[in-house]
Amino acid sequence: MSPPEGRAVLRVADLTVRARGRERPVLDRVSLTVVAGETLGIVGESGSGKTTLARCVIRQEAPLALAGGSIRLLGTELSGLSQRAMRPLRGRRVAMVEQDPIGAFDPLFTVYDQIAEFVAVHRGAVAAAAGVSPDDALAKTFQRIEAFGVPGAARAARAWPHQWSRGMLQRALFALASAPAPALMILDEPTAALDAPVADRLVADIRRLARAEGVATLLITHDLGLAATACDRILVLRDGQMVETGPTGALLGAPRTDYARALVESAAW
Amino acid sequence: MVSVPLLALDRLSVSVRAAGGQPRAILREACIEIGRGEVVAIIGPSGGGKSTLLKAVLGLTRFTHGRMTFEGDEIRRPHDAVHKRLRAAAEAVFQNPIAALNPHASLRATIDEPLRARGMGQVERMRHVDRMAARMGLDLDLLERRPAAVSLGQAQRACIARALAPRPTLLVLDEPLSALDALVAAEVAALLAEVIGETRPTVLFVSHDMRLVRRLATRVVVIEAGRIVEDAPAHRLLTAPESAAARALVDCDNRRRAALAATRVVRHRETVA
Repeated sequence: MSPPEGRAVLRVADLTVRARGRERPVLDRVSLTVVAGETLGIVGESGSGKTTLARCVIRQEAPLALAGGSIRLLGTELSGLSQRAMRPLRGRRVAMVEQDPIGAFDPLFTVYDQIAEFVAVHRGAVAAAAGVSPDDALAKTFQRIEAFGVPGAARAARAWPHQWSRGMLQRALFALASAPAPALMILDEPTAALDAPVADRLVADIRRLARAEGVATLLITHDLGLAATACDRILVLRDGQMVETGPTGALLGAPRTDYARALVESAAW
Repeated sequence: MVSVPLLALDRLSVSVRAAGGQPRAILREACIEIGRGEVVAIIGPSGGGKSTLLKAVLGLTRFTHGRMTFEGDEIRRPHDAVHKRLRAAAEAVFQNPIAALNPHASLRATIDEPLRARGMGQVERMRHVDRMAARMGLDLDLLERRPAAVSLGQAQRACIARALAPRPTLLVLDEPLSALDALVAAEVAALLAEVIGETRPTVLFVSHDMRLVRRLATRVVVIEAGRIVEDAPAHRLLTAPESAAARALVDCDNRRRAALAATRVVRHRETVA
C-alpha cells in the first residue's frame, strides 16, 4: 500500500490483537496511515474489529492484548508505553469522541461544570492552541463551541446534559475534544445516535474544521453512506482483517473484493 | 358507496406525565385515514412521536384525546371489542428481534403461535410455518433453535415470518432494519418488499431509513414535534417534499446516493491481498 502524501500523524503496522482464550486474533496484521488534515474511514460490520482498533490507538484495549505490530503517533511508538506514559498523550495528542453523547456526560453535573473541568485539565494546551492566556482558555473554548454550531453555548451550559439535544451535545463534545489541538481525532460511530440530516451536517462540519486545523481523523462507522460523503480514504475491515483500502471514490466506484462490492451494494439500494 | 378506511385516526393525541411533572404532549391531534392495501411510511426527526403513533394504534399506549376507528367502528378504549378485532387482524415487527422474541421458544414455536391463536389445524400450521420460513430464507434446522442461538438477521427474519404467516390485514413495522448490519439489512429489506408484494397487507411502518421508505411506501406521513406536517403520495414526497423535515431527509438520502453512485467511474485504487 503506497502511503498517502503529507505528514503521517498515525502509522499502524501489522497490528495484531488477541483475546484471552481465543485462537483467532481480534485484529490480524492491520496496517494504516493517516496524514494531517485527512479523514480515513474504518468501515465494517459488527464484530469486525473497528472499535478495537480505535481503543488500541488510545491504548485502552484491555482486556484484549496487543500481540504484535506497531502504533506510531507522531513518530512515538505507543505499543510499549505504560498507562502512566499514555496519560499525557490522551486528550492532548489524540482525542476520541464516541457514539453516545449522553453517556459521555455525567448526568449529575451541569454541562458547564464538565466543560470547565476539561479545560482545567488541558488548560495549557487549550490556551496555546487558541493563542490566548490560560485565564481566557474557558471563555475561548465556549466561543469555539458556539462557532461550531451551538449558539449561546455558554448560557445553555448552565443546564443539565439531558436538557440538551444529542446533536448539540455531540457538537459540543467535538469542539471541546479538538480544542487542545490534538494531532489525531478518533470518531467512533459519532453519529449513530443522530438523525441522518443532523449526522451529515455534523460530519461535514467536523471535516471542514479538521482540514482547516490540520487534524488527522479516523472515522469509524458501519455506515458506508456516511463514509462516502465524509472520508478521503476508506479501509474495510472484516473479522479483524483488512479487506481493502483506497481513496473513497476508487473503493466505492470499483471495489476489488467481493466483500467490499457487497458492502457498497448493500449501502446503495 | 364510499369505502370505509381500514384505520382512521381523528385528532388523536397522546400525552404522558412524568412523575410529579406536567403532562407533555407526544402526539398532537393526528389525523390519518388509511385505506386497504396502502403502505404508509411514517418519517421525521427522533422524538417527534412516530413510534408513539404506532403504539397507540396497537393499543400499547393509551391515547388521551381524539378518535380511532377500525373498519368504521370506533375504538373507545384499549382492549374493547373493536380493538380486539384490530389486534386480531394486525401483526407487528419491532426494531430489536432479540428483545421481541420469547427467549424460551424455538423459532418454529414463535412463528406457529399466531397461527395457533387463529385456530388453524396442526398439519396445516406445520406446512404454513415451513413455507413461510423458507420464503424468508430460514433453513428448516434453524427453526428448532431458540433466539439466542441464531443471528440478529435470522431472528428478524423469523419475526417477519411470524408476522406475515397468518396473512394479517394490517402489518405494523417499527424500524425493522435498524438493529441489523448493512448486508443483512439490505437482504431483509428485499425480502420484506417481496413478501409484502405477495401477501398485500395494509402496512403502517416507521423508519428513519429513506431507502426502505423508497422501497416500500406508497404514501408518506411526516411527523415533527408531535404534529403531522406532511402527508403525501410517496413519489411526490420523495421528489418534491414540502415540509422542512421531509426535505432534510430526502436531501440527505439523495446526497448519500450521489456520493455512492458518483464514484463509480474512478479506477485508481489500492488493494490488500
